[in-house]
Amino acid sequence: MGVAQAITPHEQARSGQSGPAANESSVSRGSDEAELAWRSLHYMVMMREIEDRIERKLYRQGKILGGVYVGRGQEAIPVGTALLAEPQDILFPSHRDMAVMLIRGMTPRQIFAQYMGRVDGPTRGRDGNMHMGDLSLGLVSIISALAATVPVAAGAALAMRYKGIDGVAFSYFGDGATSRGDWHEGVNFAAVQKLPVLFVCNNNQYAYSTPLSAQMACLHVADKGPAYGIPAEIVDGNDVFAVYEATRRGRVQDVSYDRPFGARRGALCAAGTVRRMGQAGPDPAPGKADDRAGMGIAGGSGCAARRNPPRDR
Amino acid sequence: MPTYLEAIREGLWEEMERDPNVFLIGEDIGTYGGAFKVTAGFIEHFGARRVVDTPISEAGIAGAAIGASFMGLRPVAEMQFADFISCGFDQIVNFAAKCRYRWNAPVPIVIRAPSGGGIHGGPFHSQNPEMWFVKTPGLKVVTPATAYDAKGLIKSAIRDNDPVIFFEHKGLYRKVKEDLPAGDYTVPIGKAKVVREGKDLTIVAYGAMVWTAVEAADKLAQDGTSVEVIDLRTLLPLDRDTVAESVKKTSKVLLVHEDTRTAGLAGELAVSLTETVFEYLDGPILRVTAPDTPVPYSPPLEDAFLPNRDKVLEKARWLLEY
Repeated sequence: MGVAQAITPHEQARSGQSGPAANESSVSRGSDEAELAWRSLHYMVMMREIEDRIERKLYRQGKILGGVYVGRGQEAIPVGTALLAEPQDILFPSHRDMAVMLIRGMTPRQIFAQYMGRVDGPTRGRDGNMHMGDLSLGLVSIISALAATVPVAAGAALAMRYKGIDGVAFSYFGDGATSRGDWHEGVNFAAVQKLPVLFVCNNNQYAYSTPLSAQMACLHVADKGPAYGIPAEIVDGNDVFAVYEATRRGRVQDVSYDRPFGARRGALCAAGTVRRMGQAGPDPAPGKADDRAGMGIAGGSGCAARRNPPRDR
Repeated sequence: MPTYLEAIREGLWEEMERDPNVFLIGEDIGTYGGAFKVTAGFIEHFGARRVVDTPISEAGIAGAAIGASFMGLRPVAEMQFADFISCGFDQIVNFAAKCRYRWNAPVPIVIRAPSGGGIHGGPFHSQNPEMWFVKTPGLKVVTPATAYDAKGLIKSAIRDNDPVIFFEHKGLYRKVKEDLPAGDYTVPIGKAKVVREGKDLTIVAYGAMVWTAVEAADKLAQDGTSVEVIDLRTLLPLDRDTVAESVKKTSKVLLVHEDTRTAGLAGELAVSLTETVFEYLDGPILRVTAPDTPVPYSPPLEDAFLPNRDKVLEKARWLLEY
C-alpha cells in the first residue's frame, strides 16, 4: 500500500471541506481497527513528511530561518491523543505536536507558510515555527516559555464548565516543562477545581541537553499526578494504539470520584519516548541513544501502526 | 456618597449584571469578600461559578483568565496587592500581551491590582509597578484617581477586548468619595482629563498624586498663580496630545508620580514633549517622583520617600521663576 491519500487543497476547495477532517479522504476503510490504523498512519506520516521537508530540506537550504523544532519519532503521541478530540474540545499543542494541528484541520500549506514567515500563514509572519494557533479549530498557540499554556488550558476548561460545554482541554508539554512554576500552578488549579483537562506529557527524556535525571527527583513524570490529586498513567509513547487507548480512558465521561480515570476532573498521561534528533535545527543530537529506558526504537516510532495493514480488504 | 472603593464595586457589580460572561477570579475574593472587601457580597449574589476563589497562584490566575477569555468569557482577575503581579509576570507580558499581534487571538481580560503606598505597608504592599506593563506593547494600563473615573474605567476595561491592567490606588479606597451619576456610564481608556484649568504652569500626575498636585495648585492659587492640573487616567495608550496642548498654553510643565524615578512615566513623557512641543517650552521639563529605592516601612522613612505637596511646590516655584 502506498502513501496515504490526503486531499490536496484543490480538492478540498472543490468539495467545500474545511476544519477537522479536512486532511482526510472520505473513502471507507473497513473495520474500526483498520480505520484507526489508517488514520493514525496517515497523520503520523503526514507529520513526518512535512517536518522532513521543513528540517532536512527547506531549513538546510536557508529558506526557513531561525529555529526549527521537530517531533520526529514522537508522532504517536500527538496522533494517538488528538484523534480522540471532539469538535468542542480545545487543544494546546507544544512544539513537537504538529499532528495535533493537522488533525484539527490546519493544512500543510498553512504550516509551510508559517515556517517560511509568509503573510498568508497563520501568524502573517509575526511569529515562527510552531508558535501558531487558530481558535476556530480549537488550537491555542504556545509561547516560547513552555508550560505557559498549562494554566491557560485550565482556564479554558473552567470556561467550558462555566458555559456548560461538555468538552476537554488537552494540554501538551514535555518532561522539562513540568519543572516550571506555571506547570505547577496550572495543574494544581485544575486539580483543586476538578477541571476537565487531560495533561499529556511528551516525555522524550531530554530538555535540550538536560536528561530527566537532572530535571527531577521523581522517577517518572507520572509520579507528579497523584501529588496533585489527579490520576496519572505511563504509556508507551511509541505505540500509537496504546496512546489512543490511554487517551480514551482519560477522556471518558466519569462522574464517580473512585474510578481511576476521568479527564472530567483532570488526568495526567505521561507518554514516554526518546528524542531522536537534536533539540532544534542546527543542534547535534545529545539525546540520540536508542533503547533508553527500555523504549526500543526499531527504525522509527509508529511502527506498531505500520505493522497493521492500513486497509482491510 | 460612594467611596473610590465602592465605585469600583458598583462598576464590577453592574458589569456582572449586564453581561453573563463577566466573572471574577482571584484569592480570597469570594467567601472572604476580598482583602479590601471590594468584592464583598458578590459570591452570595452571583454564586461560586462567577466568583472563583483560587489557590495562591498569580501565574495560574492570569493564565486561567487568558484561557477563559479564549472561550468567550470576560474575566476580571485580581492580584491581591499589585506587588504580587510580578508572580504572574510572564503570563501577562509574554502571553496575554502578544496573542492578538501574533495569532489574531484577542485576550479580553482585566487584571485589577491594588497599588500604591502611604499605608505603612512596606516594600511588598506599597509598590507602583505600572511601568513594567506600560513598556509592554499589547497591554493597556489605567490608573483612576477619582471615584467617578474608577467606576467608569473599570467598566471600560471590562468591555475592552484587550488585556487591561487596572491599578486602583489602595490609599484612595476610602479617602476619596463623590456623588456618582445614576445609570450606566463609562470613561474612555486613553484619554487624560484637565481637572484644573490654568495658564502659568502645567502639572501632570496620575493616581494618588493627582490629589497632591491639586493641593499644590490650590496653594499656588493663593499667590495668584494659575496652575493647570492634568490627570492622565490612562498610562497606556498615553494621551500625549492633551498634555502637549496644555504645554502650548502654559509653556512650563512639571511631571509628578508616586512611582520611583528612573524609567518612570515622567522620563517617557518628557522626551515625548520635547519631540512635539519643544518650541513652546520656556523652561526645562521637571519631575517629582519617589527616589530609586524600595518602599520603606517605617513612617518617617516612607514620608521621606513619597512625593508630597511641599516637594511639588518646591519644584513648581523654581520652574515658575525660571
